[in-house]
Parts: sequence; structure tokens; C-alpha cells
Amino acid sequence: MDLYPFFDWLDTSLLADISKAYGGVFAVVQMFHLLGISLLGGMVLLGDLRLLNLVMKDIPSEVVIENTYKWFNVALVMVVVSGVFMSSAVALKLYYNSMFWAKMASLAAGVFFVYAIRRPLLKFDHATIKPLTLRLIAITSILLWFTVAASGRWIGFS
Amino acid sequence: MKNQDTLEKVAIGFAAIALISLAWFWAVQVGWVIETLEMAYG
Repeated sequence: MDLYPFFDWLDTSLLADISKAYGGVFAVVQMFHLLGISLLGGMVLLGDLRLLNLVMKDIPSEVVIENTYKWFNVALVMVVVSGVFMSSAVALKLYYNSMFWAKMASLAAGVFFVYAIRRPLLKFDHATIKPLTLRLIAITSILLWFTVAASGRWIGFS
Repeated sequence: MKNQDTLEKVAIGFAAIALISLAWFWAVQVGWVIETLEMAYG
């Protein structure tokens, strides 16, 4: 599936007009993007470090995980919405950037992992899940989301 | 319980594929950085 028509449309859309013409608007949206990344990373680290039994050991991991869900969702919406706006400023450049696609692939993998595997599995009593599986889930989650953020930063260098 | 067992297996499978892919991806990136540094500084 060739996504070029979408990027071509995005490059000439109203969003692109705004993001290219108003540096101040772009900067504010970028601030929300970074805030969203911080929030998302915070929720991922909080939940996964608890699963690894490294932080907040006195609170059941089910409680910690459950409390990260809402803010993770908020952060994900923030990064996606602000990310689309920011992409519109350099849509065609991004289309030809391999690091951008690496970021999109890891983002898709991360979202699939969270909503299709991690959350459904962690609904069960954590004591009934093998400790090795819990650790594996936590490490995979941390590395996947690290890759999303780091490859995003890497776009600027490639 | 059966659902949980299936999910655990899927999680382990996904984690294995993801970790191997990420290791390969970052190895390529680090290799690229080393290559660039070598080109710049010899």
C-alpha cells in the first residue's frame, strides 16, 4: 500500500499551511508533543518498573498498572494528534525518511502490544502470571517505547 | 484460564520477535554511527 498520496495531500493541506506559516503555533504544538512523550514514557516506566519489582513494591502491581491506563491513553492521543500536525510541515520529506518509518513501525508495534497483549493479559491476577512472562512484558514494553521516542529524535539527524 | 495461557504464549512470542527486531535495528544504527565517525575522523 503506497501512502504517498496521503503525504502529498498532507503537504498541501490546511494543517501544512498553518504549520509552515506560523512558527509560534508549531512551537506550541511541539511543546504538547514533548509533554505527551514525557507523560507516555512516565506511565510506561511506572508500570513496567513495577512489573520488574523495582519501584513501589508496597503497592500491588495491579493497582499501579490500572492507574497508568488513563494517562497513557491521554498521552497517546496527545502525541498522535500533535505528531500529525508537526508532520504536515515536512510531510514529503518524512515520506522519504527511513527513520520516520522506523518510528511509525515501532509505534504501531507498541500500540498493538499495549492494547492487544499487555492490557488483556494484565487484567488477570498478576500472581497467576509467570514471573518470567511479566518481566519479559516489562522489558519489551520499555524497549519498544524507547525506540519510538529515540527514532523520533533520530529523524532530526538522518 | 485457557485464555490467560494463550495470551501468555502470544506475549512471549511477540516479545521474542520484538526484542530480536529491536536488537537488529539498534545494531544497524550504532554501526551507522561508527561508520560515520570513521569517515569523519579516520
